[in-house]
This record gives sequence, structure tokens and C-alpha cells, in this order.
Amino acid sequence: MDSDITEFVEAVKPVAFQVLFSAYEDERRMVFNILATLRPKAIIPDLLKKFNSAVETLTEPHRFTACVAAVSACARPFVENYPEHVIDTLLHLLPGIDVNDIGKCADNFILMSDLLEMIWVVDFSRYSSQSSLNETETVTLAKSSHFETFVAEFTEKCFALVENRSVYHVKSLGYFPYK
Amino acid sequence: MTYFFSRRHQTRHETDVMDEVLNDEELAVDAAIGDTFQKMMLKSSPELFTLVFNKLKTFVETRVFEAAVSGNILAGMCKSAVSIQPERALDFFIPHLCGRIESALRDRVGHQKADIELQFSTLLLSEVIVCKFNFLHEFDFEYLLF
Repeated sequence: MDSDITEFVEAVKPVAFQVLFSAYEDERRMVFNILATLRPKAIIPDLLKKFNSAVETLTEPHRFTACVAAVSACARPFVENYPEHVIDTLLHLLPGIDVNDIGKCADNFILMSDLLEMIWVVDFSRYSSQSSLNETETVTLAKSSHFETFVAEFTEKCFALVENRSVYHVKSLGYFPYK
Repeated sequence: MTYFFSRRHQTRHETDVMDEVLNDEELAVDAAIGDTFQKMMLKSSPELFTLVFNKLKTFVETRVFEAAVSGNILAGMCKSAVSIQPERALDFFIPHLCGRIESALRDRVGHQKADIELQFSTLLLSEVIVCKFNFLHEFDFEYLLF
């Protein structure tokens, strides 16, 4: 019964969010994947709140990594139910691409890869007024104008990472800013 | 004795950069960069693809990396571009890299010091021509065979 499933998810939810910041990484992925697939509206908004608060703090990087891994586990229900937040999430991940914390960098790439698998990186903002759309679709289309920023910054971050991952520096053939 | 020692020293380095051992996280990141970059380019609109491709062109034109880590990652990114728009990407990569290889080979004859650039350009060329499309016959590689 649907009500039983909702009741079960609501009952397990506090425990799941307790597991979020624990050391049990595999269990965390599995729990959030199952719960978010069963009842995305019960899990994903709270998870996004924790993710956004983790993005804003610089002193607790382990919280950010844990949230990234959990969002990665819920990538499909996240994109299906909250497409308007996907672009913001991608933009939030960009500062995490940093050679100084290679573990966080790997988690960020995995989440980006999961999200990019399911969306089109196309600026639809110009086409938003041509047909009747609901509020979520209108917001999503408007936010797609940020894709250009995302693509440009992501490319630059990748290039910076390539340069910094070099075993030894060879040479540059002159300086060209990528902008 | 001195002869053997100096000869050995000249023919190879004691520690080769290719023997560098990377840990699991570094290996994961190296693989993830190429994968994510390819997905981004694949899902991009033509305008955004052009934006990224122009940045990639500028980057490849203005940099030389060692072939072990950075060169390898960059080669994967170039291969991604070729796999998505082969005609356009090969139109840039093949003339550019062949020219670079030719120039490095010329320098090598004279000064014997262009190995890193030659290795980098050859790595990139070897990655970008590994494609299943029939565009390669349009390019002339014969002058590289000397």
C-alpha cells in the first residue's frame, strides 16, 4: 500500500539522516538510493537543505563530501523530481574541483557525471514564453541560462587540474587566458 | 668502467616518470575528468560545444605536458571532442599535431632535446586518430613516416 510505504520512509528517515555523516559509505549510498526512489519528496528536499548548508561552510569539508555522495546516490529521483535545482547543484560543485583535495574532487566528478548523464546542457531560457508551462518548468528553463557559465567554468577548472596534476612542469607556449 | 657507467647514464634515467605510482583516488580522478568532460560535451548544444572546443584548442596550442599524467588526461579530453564531432575536431588536431611532431623531429636532429614535446604530441595524435569514422583518409600522414 502507498500509505504503508510513506509511513515506512518517514519512520526510517531520521535514521537515514543520522547515517548521512557516518563512516558507513556503502550503506549510506544504498539507504538514500532506496528511500529517494520510494519517496523522493520525503527525502530529497531535506537532503538538498543539508547539501546547501554544507556548501556554504568551509570548516567542515567532510559534511560536504558526505552530502555529495548521498546526492549522487539519489541522482535519478533528484533529476526527475527537482530539475530546477540541478543547475544550482552543478554550479555549487565547481569550487570542489581542486587538486589539493583529490578525494573531494573525485566525489564531485562522480556526482557531475551522474547528473550530466540525465540532462541536456542547452540554454532553453529564450524559448520559455512560447508555450504554456508550469512553474517548475518555467524556473528550470530560466535557470538553463546558467549553463554557459557552468560549461566555461568547468572547462577552466579541468584545465587548471590538468596543469596542476603534472608530474613536472614542462613549458607553456605563451600565456593565453581561456576566457 | 667509467665508459660503461657514463654510457648507462646517458641512455636511460634511473627513475622514469612513467613508473610513478598513483594512488586509487588519483587514478579515479584521472578517469573521472575524461568521463565527465565527455558527457558535458556530448550533452551540450552546438553553441556551447563550440565554446568548449575553442578553449580546448587554445589550451592544446599553448601547452606541453609530460605524457605520464597530465598529457594522458588531456589526450582523453581531446579524444572526447573527436568522438563527438570527429570532422571538426580532426580538422584541427591532425594538422596541428603533425606540424608539432614534424617540428619536434627537426629540433631533435639538431639539438637532441625535444623528446618531451615529441612524446606529448605523439600521445595526443595516437589518441585522436583512434576513432571509428572514415575521415582519416582525408589527411596525409606520409611525411611523418620518415
